[in-house]
Amino acid sequence: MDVIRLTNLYKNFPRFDQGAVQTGNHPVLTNFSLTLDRSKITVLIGRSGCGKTTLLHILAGLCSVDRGSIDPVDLSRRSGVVFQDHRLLPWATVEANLMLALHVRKDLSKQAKRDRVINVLGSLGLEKTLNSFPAELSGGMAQRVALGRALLLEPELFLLDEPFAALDAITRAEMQNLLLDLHISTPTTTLFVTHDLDEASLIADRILVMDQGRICSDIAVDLPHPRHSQDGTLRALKDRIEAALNNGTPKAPFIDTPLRSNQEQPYV
Amino acid sequence: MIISFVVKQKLRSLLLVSTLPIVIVVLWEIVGRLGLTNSYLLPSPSAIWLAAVELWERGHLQRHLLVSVSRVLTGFSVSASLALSLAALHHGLPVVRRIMSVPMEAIRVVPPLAMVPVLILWLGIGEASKLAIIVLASFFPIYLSARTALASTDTRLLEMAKTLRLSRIEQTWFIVIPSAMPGLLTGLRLGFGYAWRALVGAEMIAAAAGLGYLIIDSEELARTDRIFVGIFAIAATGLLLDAIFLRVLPKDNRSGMLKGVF
Ligand SMILES: Nc1ncnc2c1ncn2[C@@H]1O[C@H](COP(=O)(O)OP(=O)(O)OP(=O)(O)O)[C@@H](O)[C@H]1O
Ligand SMILES: [Mg+2]
Repeated sequence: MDVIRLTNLYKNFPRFDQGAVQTGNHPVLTNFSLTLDRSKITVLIGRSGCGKTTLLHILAGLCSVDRGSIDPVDLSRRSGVVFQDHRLLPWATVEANLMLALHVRKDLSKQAKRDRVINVLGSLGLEKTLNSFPAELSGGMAQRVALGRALLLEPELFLLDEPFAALDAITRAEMQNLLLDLHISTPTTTLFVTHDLDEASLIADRILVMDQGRICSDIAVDLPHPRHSQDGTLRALKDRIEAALNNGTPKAPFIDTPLRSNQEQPYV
Repeated sequence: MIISFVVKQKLRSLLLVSTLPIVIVVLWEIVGRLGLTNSYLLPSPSAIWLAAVELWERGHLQRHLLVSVSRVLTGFSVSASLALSLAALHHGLPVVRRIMSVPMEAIRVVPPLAMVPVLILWLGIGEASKLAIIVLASFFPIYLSARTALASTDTRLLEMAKTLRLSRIEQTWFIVIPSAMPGLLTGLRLGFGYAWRALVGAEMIAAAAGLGYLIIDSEELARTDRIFVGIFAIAATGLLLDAIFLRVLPKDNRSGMLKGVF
């Protein structure tokens, strides 16, 4: 795909009082512009409520913009989404859930579809779960199936909204590596939303810090993989992101710099 | 070993379920035999049994049963198809629902039996008035639970379906209906119970056959034993139909619905 360009996007959510009378507008995106790099992982980081999910939903076609242009116009039809929760159909097996992603592919035979499903499951290390139901999977396995479902769409734009936030630290690290491996074998333009500074610095080729509906910092990360979160360069990078986050709005109490450096001391 | 374990389990649950009814019937019989009750007001189980056998041998019981059961099945089919299609329409087109809301609410709060005189005037005392009462009685439980079930689809799953580029029809088939299925089935079962009860009521007011008619007819003949035959036939048939209903309706065939994907 050629470049993905968002130009002058505006998005307001109407605000209602108890009587469902519209009392005003809540601006989420105001004159938002962004060009995404081809085949790169762009990480979007920002405080809760700054509009990350809204932006992702706009790109995925789940939410309309009030004004502005998206190039290419059929972007949402070429994108694949992974949400924070797996969103697998609870009454369907893993196989059926994945087949659903190929339902639009009228050009493929059933056998070809099934082959693809088995292929994707193999690449995610989930061959054995073909006939399992989502309730029988661990959180990490279910999220890998969700990843597989998005991959089956062969998206030109891969959208991930805090996909690993609900996982434990070990599983999250595994998932991050899995994502990087998949990205190396099939480089896809990726927009990855996260809250997690470590995650951002570990996987990003570019980090966008978002605040109140604007990009307030755009950091290119040109570091080789694999990266280690205790590495000096990465820690410097995290400090930059944190500074950008704090410059946008008054410093929030939960980012406690002295405590952080104390915690890190054992590793030095 | 395993088979005997299963058999034991089954016996235990059978015992658990059947003890109370048996105790009641035995006590009832003893009380009757001791002459503690007026046998006209409360005939003993054995007297009721004899009356039932007599009615059966003359062919009356079968006839009334058959009439009632076929009425309830016809009425319920009409009511279920009406309620499910209207629920679907109203779910898809909320405007239509709002337009129809006041008259529908008005009909809902009027007990079907209050409509009996008007229905008899309009439709006569033939089958049509009985069917109308069944429909009135069972429509709303089915309609309301169907609407609740359809509206309670997880919007997150629908969002996911959109990202898979599924059309609205495909979303309905693969997501809305399967997730509504338990609610739909509960509504149908509930509606069937209402239909059965309303039918018997209707037959007591205007009919020439049916279990309700059997009771009224026996009352006029002062045959309390036959009245009890009617009551027990209604209870037994109701239980049986409910059990069959549970069997016939697929409990959870939602994964089967996804066969369309393959
Ligand atoms: N459907 C909606 N209707 C009204 N307001 C909404 C809607 N969705 C989001 N908002 C508002 O838009 C703002 C941005 O929300 P959004 O979900 O994009 O934030 P976010 O950056 O993803 O936050 P988080 O990190 O917590 O996921 C919030 O203030 C939210 O209240
Ligand atoms: Mg969000």
